[in-house]
This record gives sequence, C-alpha cells and structure tokens, in this order.
Amino acid sequence: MNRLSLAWVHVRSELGQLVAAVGVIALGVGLTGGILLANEALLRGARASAAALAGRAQLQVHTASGGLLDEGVLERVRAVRGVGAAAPLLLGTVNAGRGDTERLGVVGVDLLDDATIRVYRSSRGTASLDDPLLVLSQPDSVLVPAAFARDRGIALGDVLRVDAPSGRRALTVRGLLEDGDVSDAFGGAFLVLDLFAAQQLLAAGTGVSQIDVAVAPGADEAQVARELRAAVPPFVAVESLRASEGALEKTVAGLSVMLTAIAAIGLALGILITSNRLSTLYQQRSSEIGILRGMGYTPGRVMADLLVEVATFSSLGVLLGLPLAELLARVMVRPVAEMVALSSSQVIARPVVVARALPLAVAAGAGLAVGLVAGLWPAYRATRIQVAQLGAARRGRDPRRDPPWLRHARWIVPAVAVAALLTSGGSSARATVAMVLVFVAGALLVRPMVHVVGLPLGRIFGPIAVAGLRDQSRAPSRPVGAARLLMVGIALVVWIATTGASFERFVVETNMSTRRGDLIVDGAVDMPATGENEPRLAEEVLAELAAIPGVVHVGAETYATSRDPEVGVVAVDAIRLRIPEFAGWRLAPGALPDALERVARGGAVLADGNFAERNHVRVGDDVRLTSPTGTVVLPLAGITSPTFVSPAGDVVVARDVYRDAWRDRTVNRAFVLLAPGVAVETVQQAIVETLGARYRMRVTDMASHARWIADSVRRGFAFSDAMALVTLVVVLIGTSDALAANTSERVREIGTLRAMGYTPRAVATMVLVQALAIGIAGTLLAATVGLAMSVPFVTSILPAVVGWQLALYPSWRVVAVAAVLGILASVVGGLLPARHAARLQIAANLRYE
Amino acid sequence: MAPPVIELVGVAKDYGSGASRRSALAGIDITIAEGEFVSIMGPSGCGKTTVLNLVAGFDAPTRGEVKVLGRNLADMREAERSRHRARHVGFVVQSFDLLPRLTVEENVTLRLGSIGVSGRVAIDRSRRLLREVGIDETLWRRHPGELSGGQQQRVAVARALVAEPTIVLADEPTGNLDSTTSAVVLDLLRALNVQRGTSVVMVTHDHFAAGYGHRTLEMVDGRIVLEIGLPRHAVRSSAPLPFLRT
Repeated sequence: MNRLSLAWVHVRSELGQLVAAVGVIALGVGLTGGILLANEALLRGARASAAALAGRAQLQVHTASGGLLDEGVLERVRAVRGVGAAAPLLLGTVNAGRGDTERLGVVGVDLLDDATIRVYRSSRGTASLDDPLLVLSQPDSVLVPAAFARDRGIALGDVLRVDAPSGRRALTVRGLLEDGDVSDAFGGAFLVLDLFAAQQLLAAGTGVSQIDVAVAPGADEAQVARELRAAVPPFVAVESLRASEGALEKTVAGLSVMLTAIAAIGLALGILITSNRLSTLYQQRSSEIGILRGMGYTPGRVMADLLVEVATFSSLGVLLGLPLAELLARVMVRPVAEMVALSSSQVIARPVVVARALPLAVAAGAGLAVGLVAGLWPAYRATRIQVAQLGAARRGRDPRRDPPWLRHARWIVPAVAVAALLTSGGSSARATVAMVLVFVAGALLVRPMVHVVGLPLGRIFGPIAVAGLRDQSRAPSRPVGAARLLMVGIALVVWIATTGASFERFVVETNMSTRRGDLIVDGAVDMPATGENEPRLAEEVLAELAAIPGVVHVGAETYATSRDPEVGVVAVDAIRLRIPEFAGWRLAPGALPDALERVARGGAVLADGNFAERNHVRVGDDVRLTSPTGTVVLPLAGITSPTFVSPAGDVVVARDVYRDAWRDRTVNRAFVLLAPGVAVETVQQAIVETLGARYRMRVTDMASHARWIADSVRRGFAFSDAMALVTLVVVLIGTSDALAANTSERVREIGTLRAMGYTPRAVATMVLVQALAIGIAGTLLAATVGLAMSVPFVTSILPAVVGWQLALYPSWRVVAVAAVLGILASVVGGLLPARHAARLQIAANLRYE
Repeated sequence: MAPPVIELVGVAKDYGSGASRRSALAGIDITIAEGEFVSIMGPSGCGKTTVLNLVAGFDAPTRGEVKVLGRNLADMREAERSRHRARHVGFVVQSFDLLPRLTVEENVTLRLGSIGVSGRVAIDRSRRLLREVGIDETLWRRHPGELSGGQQQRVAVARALVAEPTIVLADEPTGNLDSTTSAVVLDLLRALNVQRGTSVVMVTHDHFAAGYGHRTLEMVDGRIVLEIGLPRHAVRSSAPLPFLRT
C-alpha cells in the first residue's frame, strides 16, 4: 500500500472528524478565489469601458491637473501633422430620477464629428446619428444605449429626469445605441448628448474633459505624440490611452486590498481551526503513532506521512471551494462595482465573472497552504510520542505539559508588552513592536484566563462543571485553542472598530471646526461620496440663496484634485475666511499674522500638515499648483487642520483664484449664515420650496451635517462588519469543533459521570458551561488586546501614515456587542457537542480505551 | 423476609441484528437479597459484565425484567434512572476511572454532586471516607496520576461509597492490582458488606476474590451454570479493618 493510499484510508475513516477542517479550507479557497475572480471581472470591465470610449483613438489630450480643457485647444491638435482625427469629449455624471444612488455617465460629443473616433451602432428605424441634425436642433435630446433603455423600459420619445450641477433637467430620448462598441462604456449606463448641451447640463462652460486623437495611417504614434506636446499649452498632457487606464485600476486595486484582508483573516482563522482538529486527531492516534516509532519509523517519515494525509483532506477542501469561489465572485462583484463607482465617480462597466485558471489555481494553492501550515506543528508534536509515554498515559499520568519556556513566556511576554506600550509613543517602529507583543501576550494568556474564568463558573454550576472546566484548561487543550481563535478574531474586530471610531471622531471634529454657519446646502443628498466626487451645484445658486429672506451671508467651497504633483485643492469664498461665524480655521503656531486675510484676497494659500510635510514647505515658502491654465504660485501663509480632500495633502485657496485658474464655476457646498433671531427651520423650508424644484439639493443644519460626515467615515470601515461576521462564523465552527473533540477525548470520563448518576442534562450543562468559559475568557482577552493594540496604532502609526494626529476614542458599543456576540457564538457552538455528550452510551464508553 | 434488592427475571440481552445477532444473556434469573455479597465468575464474553450493566441501568434487556429495590428499570425514563443510580448504586471498575484533572478529594466530592450534596458537607464526608479506606491526608490534594494502582482503587472505592449506596457493583476491582493490594481492596468491600449491610455484586476472574462472597454464580455463554455458596473466608489483612475501628 503506497503512501497516498494509506493517507486516503486514514482520511476516509476520519472524515467525520475532519468535516470542520475541510469546511474552513473550502471557505478560505472560496473567499480567495472569489475575490480574485471579482477583481479580474472589475478590471476587465474597467478596461472594456475605457476601450469602448476610446474607439479608434490612440492618444488622449487632457489637462495635467485633471480639470477641464478649453475647447480652443482642439484646433491646435487638429493642425498637428500625423493627426488623422481629433474629437473632443466631455465626461461627467448626473443622478437619475429613480433612487438616490443611481448615477449615470454623461458623454458630451460633437455629434457631427465623433464618428471619426468612436463607433456608434444605431438601431434601425430610429432617429439616430444617421441624422444628427435632427438631434442637434432639439437641445434636450439624448441618446441612450439600447440595453439601458430595455432595462428601464424606456422608449424613443420618453423623457428622462436627471439632477445635474445646472439643476433638475428633463431630457428626451431621441436615439438608441445598439449593443457593442461605445455602448459598452460605463457598463451601458450613460447618456450621449451633443457637446454644447452637455456643457450646459454639467455647467462646464466651454470646457472639455479630453480630446481623443486617432493617428493618421502610416504615421508614427510616438512622433505624433511629441509634436502634439509641442503644440499644446504647457499644462496640457498628451498620453497614450493605455496609460490612462491606470487610474481606475488603482481604485479597483484599493478596494480589492480591503477584500483580500477579509480573505486573509478567513485563511488565518482556518489555520487555527484545522490545527486544533489535527492536534486532537493525532492525540487519538498516539498509540498507533507510538507503535510506528517503536517499529523504527523515523520522526521525519512519520511527519511526512501525516502531512500527506493533510494534503489529501486539504485537497477535498479545495475541490469544494473552487465552485464556491465562482459563486462568491458573482455575489461580490456587483456591490464592489457600485463602491468603485461611488468612490471614483465613474460608472464601471457591467462586470462579468469568468472562471479563469490562474485565479482559481492561486486560491487552490492558498487552500493547500492553509492545510499544510496548520498541520506542521501537530504533526511535529505527534512525532515526539514515545511508546513508553503511552504506558504512563494509561496509568493516568499525563506527560504532556507545557514546556518550561512556555510557562515562563506566559508571564514575561505580557510584562514586556506592557512596557513596550508605555514607551511606544512618538515612534511608529516602537508602536508596531508594541502591537505585536500585545497580540502575542494575548494568545499566551488564553489558557490561564480560561482557568480563571472557570473558577467562579465552577462555583455557580457545581462539581460536574468543575470537572469539565478543569479538563479544558489543561495542556494541550482543544477548548483553549477555540478560546484563542475567539480572542484573535474579536481582538481584530475591536481594533479596527476603535481605529474607525477614533478616525470618525477626528474627521467630524476637524471638519466641523472649519464648517460653521446655520445651514449647509449641497447636492450630496444621500450619496456617500466625499471630496471632489460629491455632486456639484452651479455657482449661480449662491446668488439665489442670498436672496432668500433671513439669509445674511452665503459662502461656498469647491473641492478638486490637482495632479502632478497630486494635491487636494479646497477653494473657499473669501467671506468664509473673514467671518469667524463661518469658519474656525485653526492655524498652527508660526502662521503669518494676517494669514486668513491674505488667502481671502487671493495672495496666499493655507496648507494642511500632511501637505507641508510631504512637500517640505514651511510658512513663507512658495506653493506651486498645476492648473489647466498654468502654474499657480502663491506663498504659504499658515498650516491648518486637515480638510480631507486628498490623502496626499490639501491646499486652501480663495475660490476666485480657483475659478480663474481651473475655469470651474461649480461649487460642492454653500454655507448659509442667518440673521440673528431667524429660525433655522423657516429658512431651510424656504430654500427647499424656492430652489428645490430646480436643483437636487440637500439643506441641512450643522448637527445633521456632522452626522452625515460620521456616516460617510463609518461606511469606509463597513468592511469590519463583514470581518466580524466571518469571525463569528469561524468562532462558532471552531468552538463546536473543539468541544466535539474534547467530548470524544473524554468519552470514558463522561461514561463515569453517567455511571455516578449524573443525568444527561447535567452532562450537557457541563459542556455548555465549558463553551461559556471559552466565550467569556476569549472575549475578555479580546477586548483588552484589541483596545491595547489600538493605542499605539491610533496615536503613533496612523499619524505617520496619514499625517493626521488622532486621539484614541474607543467604540464601547462595538466592544460590548462584539463581546456579547462572541460569547453567544461560543455557547451556540457548544449546543451540538452538548447534545452529543448527553446521548453517549454509558456501557460502551466505560469500555472505551 | 425483606424483598430482594436486585431481581433479574427471564433476562435476555442480544446485540446486533440479522446474521450478526449475538446473544450475551440467554434468559437468566438472579435474585440478590439485602446485605448479600455475590460474585459472578466466568470466561471472557460470558455475559457477566452485561449483568452489571443491566443492573446499573446502563443498558436495557432485550427480554425480561430488571428490578432494583423493587422498581423495574424499564419503567423509568433516562433521567429518573440516573437519579435512581445516583442515590442507590456505587460502581467500582478495574481501571479505577478517576478523573485525572481533579484531585483525590475532588474525585470523591464529585460523586456527592450527583445527589445534590456540595460545599462543606461534601468535603467533610469525602474526607471521612478517604480516611476510612486508608488514604492519608497528604494524598488528598494529589492527582490520580501521582498515586499507585492500589491507592487509586481505594479512592475509587471511597467514591463509590461516599453517597452511602444500597448496592455496590464491582467489575474486576482487583484486575490491575497485585495480590497484597487486591486483598486490601477486597477487605474493604467485605467490611462494607458486613458493617453497613450494603449489597455487593462483584464480577471477577479470580477464584480467591470470588471467595469473599456469600455466593458465587458461574456463567458460561450467557447462562448461569453453577451456583456455589462458599464458606466465608477469614480476614486476610494484617491491619484492623477500618470499618471495625472504634
């Protein structure tokens, strides 16, 4: 019988006991494979969208700063030798009339000329690009993809109501674009308008987002690109279309990191469960293994055979997990695509999941790796078994105690961890070391904690509970492993939640310090997007707001991102820099004495600490901003608190300066200050009644706005809910598995207890009390470890990464909920083993060897 | 005349089904009176342990009745049988079956937990029994793994007796012990029977041990083939019996 056959014999006979291990490996493979497949689908969709829009174009002309390009650049582009065709394109988004979160792409093109670049397929018998003059003559005309129209039951001639920066608009469908080519852009969820109409809709003036260039047949693309760069203004970029795909791919990659973290946690917890299970199995087979060793099998040979068994049942998990991967990918891909759309302001193409070999192979490899890593330590311990020890075990002596180094480490490591925590301030390296030490200390303290928690539980539930609790705090112990699993999972949840709560508090407090007034008006409604991706309003709305009775001042803000180098731009009306009731700008010591007034007059800028540190600028130094019209150079007047537009740092500039340089007349939000004694609700109502019909706007008081900011931050940490769910499921499985193993190890003891006269219910209670001890010990340690890890992370590591100094703000609600759910999951996990223990046959178990 | 404490009437026990059906007991009748010490002997597989299992209520007969203290065990539900066993039956087995993670004292008090006795009362009773079976105070906080086989079996006897059962069932109690230690344990069982009137049913391979009983039942292939009333042995241990101490 060869090794593989022998391994299969063992696995088949122990399959019932390996179910949990096979299950978690399958889950890990499913999650990993699902995430990889979903990522691929999203990236494929993003590329397809970009390619569909690019059509025949090889080069793209756009502003280096990411703003709008003046239409006049088009003539210069067309005049360059080697340019076969050049077509302007204006891109934007509007909100559809149905629901608050549906965003539609807007594509503004020169309908007379765009077919030279993009491929349009129009349906037969429709008013389409075959007759663009018909569309041009009616400025509310819009063309929509046929699939889009079918999904929404839209027919030719129907009216679409959208909310755009210029207000609420009604557009008439005058053409349908058949599937394929340009209709694949934005997942088919977009509107095509004539360029002029799109510029009016998006309040873009005479700007365009880009000019797509098709190189003439026979011309050299690189040469044409060089000549274009020479022809256009210096702040206009010319790049190959392949390069521009990178931005969306970065957004997708960012989200996939978060999902990958969840999969990694699932795999890590899978290792713990599988390792626990294998330790039990090998202990049950200790006689067999000891006999093999007695016959002369070397430890290496025994370990290799055990690892072949591990690989065998891991393969079963992989086989189950691969179809699960495709299923999970299909479930995950749509919500992730929506998150990409919201955070990047781009509607991604309909992602189609394709089961490809490479991602599935990676997932399969991960599953096998989980099994093998989990099996290494139990297999190693199993090879240490000697035949002589078996006799001692039968006489009731348990030789397997923790080695002395482990017993000492159990007290030394926590002491060192505490010392590291106390000295971790100000250094991210020391903080990292402190976090690791705290984590390890928590893992080491699980066994003593299980023992300590068992003491009062034993008093409450009586001698039979003492018997169970005393057994599970021995070494090695499957229940202690389950408690460790619980500790690790819940500690991570608490850590992330505390980080999120600290972050949320910091963002809310900082934002609200610079946002003062009585009312805030913006187009965000319930959109979770923040920063420059928030929907905008045309600046004409400011004058209309000022005309509302009771309104004394109106001051607006616009957020943008300037690229090369990347920096966030916060454009602020002068009045918001001059009137303290409108903004409490906190300036760091060393600011120029009249800093705010200088910025208000357009003669200086403020910057947040993050920008100043990354770009090595101090008060008085010049700050250079790249805009569509050229470089804006202004001195730095002061360092202010963060404004959260760009992770690379922000610069605050007067909106007059921004409007001229970026040629952007839209605003993200307007702050309204009322006359003394005027009721906020009255003016709020008046604004809604006067302007609400024409603009999709949100009018909120400051408290509601603060809550909205908090919700936005919380959504960013929403993945921790998914992580908590995965953790609780794994804890439930792990506890059930551990107690089932513990029960099977103690069948003789349980038989003895029943022989003594303990009822089945008493035996079940014993097992449930063990589960309760696991839950309480695990969650108590988890809360402590999670909070302790948060201290250095929030106060030392995060500031080094994001440049913001946060204060620790524990989320006690999350800690309490996680603790309760952790204990509950543990007790629920103990139900089946308790039932099994209660039903064990007394006579057979008393004979069990 | 006092009613019998144990009655097996026409008891048969089969295991398995169809072609693999095996008969462990082929319809036996046993009556054990109050205060009687009965030994059951026979080769391996003859059904003697099955008799103990049925009397303890661990298992149910295929046919016939098992009555303990006048009550038919089949008329009781599982929990009731457990409580009945807790109150009236003590059990001693060859492998001692002490819980390794509990101390000697805790192993004995654990038995009292099944009849709802705990706390100081349980500790006091346990310690008294441990002294009576000859387990010194210095051993009370040790774990079973630190004791010799004889000491472990004495603790097991103390555990079986601490709830003052009416019946003690002993399954090869001296199987793992040397002759000297065996004699000590058997003397304990004998003293229990003599002093307290506890009925003892002991399964054994050892003819010498069997001689401690008032009667010996020989079983072969699930049947009682011989019943011997042996004269009582003289006391063998050199030390006074603990139960005889005043």
